[in-house]
Amino acid sequence: MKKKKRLFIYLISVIACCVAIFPFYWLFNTSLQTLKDLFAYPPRFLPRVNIIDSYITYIRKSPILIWLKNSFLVSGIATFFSTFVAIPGAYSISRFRYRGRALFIFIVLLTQMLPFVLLIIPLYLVFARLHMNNTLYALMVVYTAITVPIGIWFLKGFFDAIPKDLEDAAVIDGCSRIGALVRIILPLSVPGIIATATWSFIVAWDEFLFAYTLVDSEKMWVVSVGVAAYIGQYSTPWNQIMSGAVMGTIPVVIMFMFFQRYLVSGLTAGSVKQ
Amino acid sequence: MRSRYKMTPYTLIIPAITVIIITMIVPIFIAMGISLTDAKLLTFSKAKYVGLKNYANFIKDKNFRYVITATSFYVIGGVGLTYFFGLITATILNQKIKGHFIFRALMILPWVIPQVVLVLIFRWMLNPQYGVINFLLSSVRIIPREFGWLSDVKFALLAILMVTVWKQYPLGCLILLAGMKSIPDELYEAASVDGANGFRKFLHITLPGLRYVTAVLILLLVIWSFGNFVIIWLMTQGGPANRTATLTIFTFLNAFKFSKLGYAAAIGFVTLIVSLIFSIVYYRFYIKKLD
Repeated sequence: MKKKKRLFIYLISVIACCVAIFPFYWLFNTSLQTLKDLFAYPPRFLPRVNIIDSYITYIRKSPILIWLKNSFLVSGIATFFSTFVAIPGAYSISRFRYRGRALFIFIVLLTQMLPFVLLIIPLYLVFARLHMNNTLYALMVVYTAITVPIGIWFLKGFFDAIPKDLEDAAVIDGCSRIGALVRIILPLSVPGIIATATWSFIVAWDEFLFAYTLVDSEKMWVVSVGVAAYIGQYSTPWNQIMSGAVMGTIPVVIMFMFFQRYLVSGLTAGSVKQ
Repeated sequence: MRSRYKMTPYTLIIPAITVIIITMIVPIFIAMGISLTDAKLLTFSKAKYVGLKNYANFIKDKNFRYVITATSFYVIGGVGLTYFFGLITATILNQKIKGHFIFRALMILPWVIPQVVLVLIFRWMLNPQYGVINFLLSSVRIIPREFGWLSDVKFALLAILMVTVWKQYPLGCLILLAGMKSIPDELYEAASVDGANGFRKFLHITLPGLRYVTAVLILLLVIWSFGNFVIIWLMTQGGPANRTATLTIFTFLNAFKFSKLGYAAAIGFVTLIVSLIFSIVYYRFYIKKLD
């Protein structure tokens, strides 16, 4: 009976996983098909000959490598700055009780309710006025801003979990508060910082609306805009489009696989605890 | 010395708050200002103050009814289905079996796939002639052999919801899973002693134990669904005939397709207000009471 139940749970788990990853399987599958097999009926569930032709053709034909470079640049820099300002911010909210704290928390939470389509209207005008539209700088600024609030919330959860006595001892020993943050708290919250940075990077990589609206020229696109440009147009074959999509997905999937453990704990530290 | 110490928390948070205020809070006030004018995208400097006319026009707009319907369906459908699948996957992952790390990694993987890529895959899988979903569903006779999902309002919305749920359920799953882990084992043991079966335990221990987490999750999901733009835009651009245009899509269409910035800002502002009021009321009258 016990054994039967366990088998059943395994079966259900495997089915759920298959459903969950079917779209990625199909993404890979399509990217490896030959042009003719794309339109076969019934569709082919495995590529007939293992070809990476579509990848090579796509890299030659499109600016995918430039888009990837732009994405890395924008997401990386935004992640760096966002984490850099979120750490002290979260520490302040987590460790001190002071006037204005509630207001700061309210502002951080308020940002989560702002529809980005509303935000894009004034930002579009402001960046145009500053002659910053059509540059990657605009995206770096925006992505830093949109990832800071979540970063603060994540890190606050991690800092809350570190016993206060540790820094109190350090402060008594003559360490400044900021010294205590750097020497005691930061080493203990490396997992939290990794989680925050991973989250920020993935959010920035995923972002489309700002990148789509603020940047026009093809050479300045990030990978999400580049990939989206093929939606609803029919001159590029699907296997090539899909190989571009695979290349745009692999970096974040690898990152996710590496840091999944931290990310999960970051999410739950920030969201479940009241 | 004393006063320096008092300033420390402010010094620490100022950079973060400054970034947020400059790039998110100030623009909202600018947007509010724009929503009171007849600003156009290309002739922005000639904008005139028109008061609340844009808001009144939105209510009178012939699309108003569709926008509200589409938004309601999208938010309610998206939140409900995301919660449902999140709960199922969390329950599966909460079973103590070998290899649950691998199962967890695979089940939450959709969260990391860029929305753009997800839409691209689904649009290919839903392709009327060559799509694999059409093939699978038509081979068991659920739908006809050639079926254009995105040209029919109901099915377009269903397709949009499919992608949305695929993207969102992993977060629901993780949050609910964390909630399940915080329910003490003794409760389940006591129930087993009393002879309760798995389903009764789920109904009488797990679900009540998840009340707080559920309340927070629903709030987050509602806010996200209200604000979601990318998936709907790339699936249908609001079509067919504006029938899948939610508040966010309608805002964007007006701003950047019809170049009516003032009108768009007003619609965007309505979106913000609705989201804000819902959050505050829900928090005050529901979540606070659960604490």
